[in-house]
Amino acid sequence: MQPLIHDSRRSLLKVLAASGVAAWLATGVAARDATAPIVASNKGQVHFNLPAGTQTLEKDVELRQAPDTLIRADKAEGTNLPGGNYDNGHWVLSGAVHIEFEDTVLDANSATVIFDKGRIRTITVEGTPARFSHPGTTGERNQGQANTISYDGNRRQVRFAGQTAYAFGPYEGISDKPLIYDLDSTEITSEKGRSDDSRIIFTFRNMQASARFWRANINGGTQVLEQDVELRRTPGTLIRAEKAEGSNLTDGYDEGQWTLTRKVQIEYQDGALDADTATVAFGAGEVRSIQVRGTPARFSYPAGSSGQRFEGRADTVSFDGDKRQVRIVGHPSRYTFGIDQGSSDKPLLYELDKGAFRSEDNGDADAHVRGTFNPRNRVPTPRTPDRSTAQ
Amino acid sequence: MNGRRLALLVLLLVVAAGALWTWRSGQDGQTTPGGAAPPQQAYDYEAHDVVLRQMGPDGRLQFQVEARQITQLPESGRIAAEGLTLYHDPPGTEPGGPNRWTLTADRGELPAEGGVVTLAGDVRAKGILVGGGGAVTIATGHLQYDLATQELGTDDDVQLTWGATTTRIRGLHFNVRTGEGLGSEINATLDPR
Repeated sequence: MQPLIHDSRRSLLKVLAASGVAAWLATGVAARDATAPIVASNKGQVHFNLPAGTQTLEKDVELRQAPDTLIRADKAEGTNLPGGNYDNGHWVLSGAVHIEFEDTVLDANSATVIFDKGRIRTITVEGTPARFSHPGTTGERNQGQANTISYDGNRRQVRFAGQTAYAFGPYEGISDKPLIYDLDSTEITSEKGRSDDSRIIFTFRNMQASARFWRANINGGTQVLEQDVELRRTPGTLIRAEKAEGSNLTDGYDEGQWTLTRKVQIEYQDGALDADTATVAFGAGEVRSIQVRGTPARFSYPAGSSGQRFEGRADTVSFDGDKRQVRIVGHPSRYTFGIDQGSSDKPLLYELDKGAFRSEDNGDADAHVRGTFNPRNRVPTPRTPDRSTAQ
Repeated sequence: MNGRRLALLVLLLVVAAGALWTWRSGQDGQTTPGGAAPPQQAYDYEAHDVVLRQMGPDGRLQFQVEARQITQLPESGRIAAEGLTLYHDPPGTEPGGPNRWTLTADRGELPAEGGVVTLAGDVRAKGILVGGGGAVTIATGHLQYDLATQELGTDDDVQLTWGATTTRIRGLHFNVRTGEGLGSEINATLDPR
């Protein structure tokens, strides 16, 4: 993906490192143990109005709550703190905001944190960009950045909006749409809103996927893409469909299987497939197999160096990546080879590298292969000399 | 000693059990609120176990002091007290009512006429804010209390307890009437229970 993410990772590390020395507090923190006391400190001025339940803290503001909640900022303005009770406080933070809770880290220019009964109810941070990280399953942290990042404590979800970029597991990407990240399942979902043209684009090595809707469970190795799905692997592979469901995506997109539905178009090397549904399996970063179905499914591939194409139409078209062979099965299947054409009750096998096709013996004695061969495809037969006029 | 002040003092002074007047022209070995021993002939009188009530021009109780010992400083007319408890009712509140503020200290200096009370040594100020919100307790080593503005002030470290919050603050200016405070370097334990 774009170096944006890599740069942001470096920046994030710097921010995280710097935050160890940081300063300023602000907001309350709530943690899983809402009975743990909250400790607030700062190194600058403190202004408070006890009857109004307000506090303003400046310089190196810090709020902590065991076991793992920490909020820092340059300035914190707290309201709804009646009787010194921080249970339901609203905090507006500004300047070098750094928030940690439940292994989640947020860094931003400003933030609003709202507590409810001693627990964080919502956090909204803003920055250029604001940054987020959360433990992934592979040792690396899932990271995201956006103009606005919001945390919903009830749903335990984080929402990214505005120039969103992320690196979740092996995937990196950008999104015009808001993304929702579930802290418990680490599932990522693009927000379904009113229809628009905004898309999500994400990459893994030389694979790029985009769609208008995306749901991914990085831990479970599953992804669902919907609406104008496009999977592009350079060089030579382009897959389009209205929906793509990936499974066993254990190593980014290098391994796994995709089930495609509706308006399936696959371009692989110089071949093309059009179908209603398809299954594509990847292994070691290569296409291992493709199976498409349609009414009919269509296949075409260059026939050698002649400039002609082999085209087939059938119920099912399968590609075997190891054998580099396409199998066409229909009742019957139809084919066109240049200007020759025919139909077959038997499966047809097309050898991609040889540019040759043949029927497969399926044990059905009544099955036939029929075809018409245009003589223009043949070498003209030499004329026999007229014996009567022979010298 | 100023005759007017003496008259006012006599008017306001209610001698508790064991009160003792000792007019002295020379007395040593006594301490000031700041802790330094006063020079000889440092005060005009001393009294023990006293209750002093300062009334305002309107006859309204300004403050009441209970002290183990008081002395009057000859130059300023200020009264030095030891082991004192000061009661102050914010204007508009019922004397002795729930909004009364109580300040205790090891030592203190009381103004001859209105002004500022200076307290030192294990100072505690406790009261309930007029604006609501429950009791506030301020503990520090040194404190000034402006009876006119009702503002407590100190540059020392302060422990402020209010509701569920116990806060240590470096320096504090706190208005008893409004409940507004200004300090620095807060270190607060906020117990959400």
